[in-house]
Amino acid sequence: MASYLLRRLLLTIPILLGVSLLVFFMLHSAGGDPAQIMLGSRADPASLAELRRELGLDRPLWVQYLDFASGAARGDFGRSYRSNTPVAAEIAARFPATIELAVAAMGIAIVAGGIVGAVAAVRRHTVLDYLGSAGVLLGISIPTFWLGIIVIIVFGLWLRWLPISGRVDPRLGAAPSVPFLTVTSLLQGNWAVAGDALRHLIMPALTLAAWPAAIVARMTRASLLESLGQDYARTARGKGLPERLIVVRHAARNALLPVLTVVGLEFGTLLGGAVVTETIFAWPGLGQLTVTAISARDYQVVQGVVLLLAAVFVLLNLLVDVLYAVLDPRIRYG
Amino acid sequence: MGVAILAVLAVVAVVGPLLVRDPAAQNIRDRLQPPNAVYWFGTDDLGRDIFARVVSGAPISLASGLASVAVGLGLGTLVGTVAGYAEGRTGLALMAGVDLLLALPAILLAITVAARLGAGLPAAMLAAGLVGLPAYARLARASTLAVKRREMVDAARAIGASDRQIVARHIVPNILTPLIVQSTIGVGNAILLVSALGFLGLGAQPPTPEWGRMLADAQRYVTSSPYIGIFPGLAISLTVLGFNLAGDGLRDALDPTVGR
Repeated sequence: MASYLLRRLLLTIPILLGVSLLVFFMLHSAGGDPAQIMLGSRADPASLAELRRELGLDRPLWVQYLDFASGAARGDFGRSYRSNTPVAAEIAARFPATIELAVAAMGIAIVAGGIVGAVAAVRRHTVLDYLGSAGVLLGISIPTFWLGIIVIIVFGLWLRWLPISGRVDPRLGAAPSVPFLTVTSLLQGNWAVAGDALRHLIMPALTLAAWPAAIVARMTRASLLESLGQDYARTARGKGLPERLIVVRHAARNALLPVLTVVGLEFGTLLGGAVVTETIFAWPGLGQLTVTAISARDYQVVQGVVLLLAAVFVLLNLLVDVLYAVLDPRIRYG
Repeated sequence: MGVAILAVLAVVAVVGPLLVRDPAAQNIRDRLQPPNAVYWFGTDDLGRDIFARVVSGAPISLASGLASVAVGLGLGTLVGTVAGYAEGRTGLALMAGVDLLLALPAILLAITVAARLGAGLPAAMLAAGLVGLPAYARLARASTLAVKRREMVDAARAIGASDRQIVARHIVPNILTPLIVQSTIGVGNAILLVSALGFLGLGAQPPTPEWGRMLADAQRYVTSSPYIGIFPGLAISLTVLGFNLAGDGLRDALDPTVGR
């Protein structure tokens, strides 16, 4: 197991190198002079040349890449063209908000998707099953950004149950930049802030959860149906065990593995999907940072975020494979 | 059901734009009107007819979805077939390149490509196509590996067929079924991605009546005129639903292993 883990970890290095090459050369050949963007249209050619030299933009592209890659390996993604602050600091300030949103959404997706999928499998070919399938189809067909607008209209504007944007009411005095605001304020016993942060979290998390919930439900149904058709389920039925126990004790455990895989894969997708959701709800996370950076042609920030999320994505896949071995005694990696 | 939705959409896309008002015509006096007898879906902030814009957006979305899939399916099949047929180092190198595309969440890859090419509908379509490419390449490679071991390939080789002829005449026709099923579902996903890029300002540019872009514009008026955002989103959802249903149906019909 240890040697397998080591091999897989080593294998992530060429993947991340490839991704960094891809992203760097794509963004840096995109045109748009960062020096011009930073200084504006009034800057004279001498100042522009000076700034280009200072930023190292006058060097060959491959030298700039090596500089970027060696910095990134040490967690240094350079400085933002727009704000001149280190990109790593900008990411560190925003990442926790995205993680909070993504974890909340994944939690909702696992619970909702798991329940819908399991009920559909156990009550196969009933109204519940068909309703579940319809829900799954809607979940993968409705665009996130439209769902976001609809929940804002319904729950924010008509019913006035929930706030429509931001992370916390500024009047409460809590800084929205606090990492994991909901959990932190809960632990501090600051109920007012925790409650408000939670209310801000519900709509974006529900919106972001729709797609993965549909995928989890579909996989749970398929996987549970397969387990219920296996010999051990028939044996358990033959012993006279009630169907509920067969599902909970025997089938569910074996149906877990494929579900776990999609949860792992979807979590990476979810971090990407947060780009859109954060834009709709003005959620101060990585997605919003990326969109602002793209419109400002601040490619230092864009490549930093993309590379970081790619690394998380690759590591998540590795984690899923390891969990596989832990959960299924038949799988042994040599 | 899926085919019915797609048939209606195709008719709307072909005939609709000829029957509605000019989707770009601005009528400031009638701006921000809720749905009424004259403007069925209301008007936007520039007084444009939302019904006309949604109908005129149908050919754009359908074409962008189909074009994206054509890019992904074409390139993916080419890469996957070559990788499967050649195997060895060439195959491994090609598939390593494909796997690289998988190491990025779809929307981030699309954003990077669109940022490189400059905002616009063609860039968004190419981006969505590249996002789909790995799925087709993997499928094509796996199917090619299976088909190339069949006797008909040996027979073709024995009568002197070249590698190119074998791939074009014997392998590609035999791996098409799973690729077609995958691409039907892929059109829906591509439409979602192109409209998401439009929503983020990286896709179609104004005044093109692209549905994602329309939703981005609608967002500013969500508190005062929420109806602006309802119809373009409904149109996207219905279109994607149509392709997903048709894809599921096609898979059930063509794949005997799918339980019913």
